Amino acid sequence: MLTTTQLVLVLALATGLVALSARRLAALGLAIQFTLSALLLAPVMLQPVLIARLSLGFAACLILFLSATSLARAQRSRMRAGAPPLARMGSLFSLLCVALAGFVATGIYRAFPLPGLPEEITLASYWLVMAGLLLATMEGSVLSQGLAAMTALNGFGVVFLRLESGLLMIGLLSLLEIGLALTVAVLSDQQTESLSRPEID
Amino acid sequence: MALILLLSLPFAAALALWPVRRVRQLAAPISALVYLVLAVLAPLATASPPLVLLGRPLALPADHALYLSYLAVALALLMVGGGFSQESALVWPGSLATFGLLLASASAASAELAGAFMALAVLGVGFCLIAPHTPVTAMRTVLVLLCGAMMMVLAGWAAEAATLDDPAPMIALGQPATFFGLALLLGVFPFGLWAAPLGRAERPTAAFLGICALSLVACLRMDDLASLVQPSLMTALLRWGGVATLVYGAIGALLPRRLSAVVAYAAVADLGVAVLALSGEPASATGLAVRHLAYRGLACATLWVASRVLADCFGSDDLRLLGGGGASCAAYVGGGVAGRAISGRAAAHGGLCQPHGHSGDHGSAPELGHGLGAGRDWARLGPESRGRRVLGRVTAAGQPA
Repeated sequence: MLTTTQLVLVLALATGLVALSARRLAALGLAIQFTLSALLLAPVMLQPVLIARLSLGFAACLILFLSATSLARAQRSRMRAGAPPLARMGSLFSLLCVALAGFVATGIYRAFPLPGLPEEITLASYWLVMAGLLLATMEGSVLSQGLAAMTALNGFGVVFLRLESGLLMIGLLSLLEIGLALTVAVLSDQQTESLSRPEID
Repeated sequence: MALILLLSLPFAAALALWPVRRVRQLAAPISALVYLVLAVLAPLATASPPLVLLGRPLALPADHALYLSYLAVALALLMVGGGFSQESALVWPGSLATFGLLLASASAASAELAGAFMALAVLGVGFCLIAPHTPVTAMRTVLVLLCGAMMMVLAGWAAEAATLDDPAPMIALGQPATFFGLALLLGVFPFGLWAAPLGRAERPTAAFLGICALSLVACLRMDDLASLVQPSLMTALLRWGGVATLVYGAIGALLPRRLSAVVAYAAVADLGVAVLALSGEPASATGLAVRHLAYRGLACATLWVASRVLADCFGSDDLRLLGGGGASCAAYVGGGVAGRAISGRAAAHGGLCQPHGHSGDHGSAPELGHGLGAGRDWARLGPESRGRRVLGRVTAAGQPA
């Protein structure tokens, strides 16, 4: 199992990638989060269930990656047409938000540990939920907000599936993750279309 | 059997409607019919034995069934109205699947499972809201409601765990989860700021599912979660939260110019009344509040359909346009009656049937014929042109001479 320092580094990498790009690279950050979540939940879940959950998580990452690719293509066509790129908060600003969430999470997990749960679960869930909610509040585009929401949902999943590892709840949460990824992809495509239409016309 | 049919019919109908979702004239009446069947099935399903889903029982209590029938009737109304107005093609299958998840949520024996079904239903609300101008509103609504649903899941788990283990830590976890979850899902002020933009988005089905249906199903779970919260604290929060929501909704309804936004704010104000009812005597509080929310759902569905139909006729549901239309109508009717009275001809005399430009001894016939020609031109105009024409007349009338 990971030490606290290793866990903090992995969490910083996973959320930092989401904050840094909020595009294709962010899908890699999400994949790291899903892997970490599987690692933390391994003691309470059967291996086939864990593998199925991980596969669904990677499928969600792939959906968001494709959506980000489509957004990048729209971005390129806008730049070729001489239109300004789609506005987004700066990467440094988002990274600072994640750093703030991380500091708060490390403080809170010592002061208010979740009852009956190991330290690493508490730290990971606080970190992911806080970083996700903060980024969802700060980001402007649908895809960035969706990636942040997936991060927060991962944090919730880590703590909740440790408490309640029934097959139905695992299935419903996994369905929710892939459903959220689909919703984000559809809404992001809609936003890309509506933003690029006036410039093309 | 009735319960299995009730829980599976919406999903089966959603799948069946998927290939014809773009044919509005076909998809809208079929969806309305399915909702009416569901409204009839819900009371019948209460007598069915519980359905066990991976060890978790699903059974529809008799007092929930009536309210679900109300929701189904309201949705049938929205589907019929959607047949005449601009709804996205995803609304027909999307709303059916969402309603199926809400039915499962109301039937779940535990609040935890109900919260998980509700979280999935929130995604359905997002799909029903899809339009070229709404992706940001849809994403924000999904984010806020998803947070509320996740809180409900956590609160439901804490309520179950509190009966098994040492209750103290579970109540410490469950109390804030219950407060925030219910406040977000119901839309209590200040957590209900998502409701007004959802109402303004010109997607009545999504607005109904988000503002009315989710709050009703969440309210049905109040009794399960009441054990987690101190009664005195809950009463005080609900009372003041209800008053704040009522005032916010009432003031908010005075400000917007769009009818759909006014309905959304009115729904928020009505929610304040329901939340005030929740703070009453525990034995009857939930029943009163849920009944009020069910009536509110029906009223909101009717008003949203009306606002969409008016918007299609006038080009927008801007209150200035509608007021202008009403004023013009009164002027035309008054002028017509006065003209007929002056010319001494009754309408039944055949004057209205005279062709345009006829110069017989029927004195008012050319004017009336001209009026009919103008009417035909008006009918040929598109809704937006009609709206612009009325708005231009109202703006011109509003300017000082």
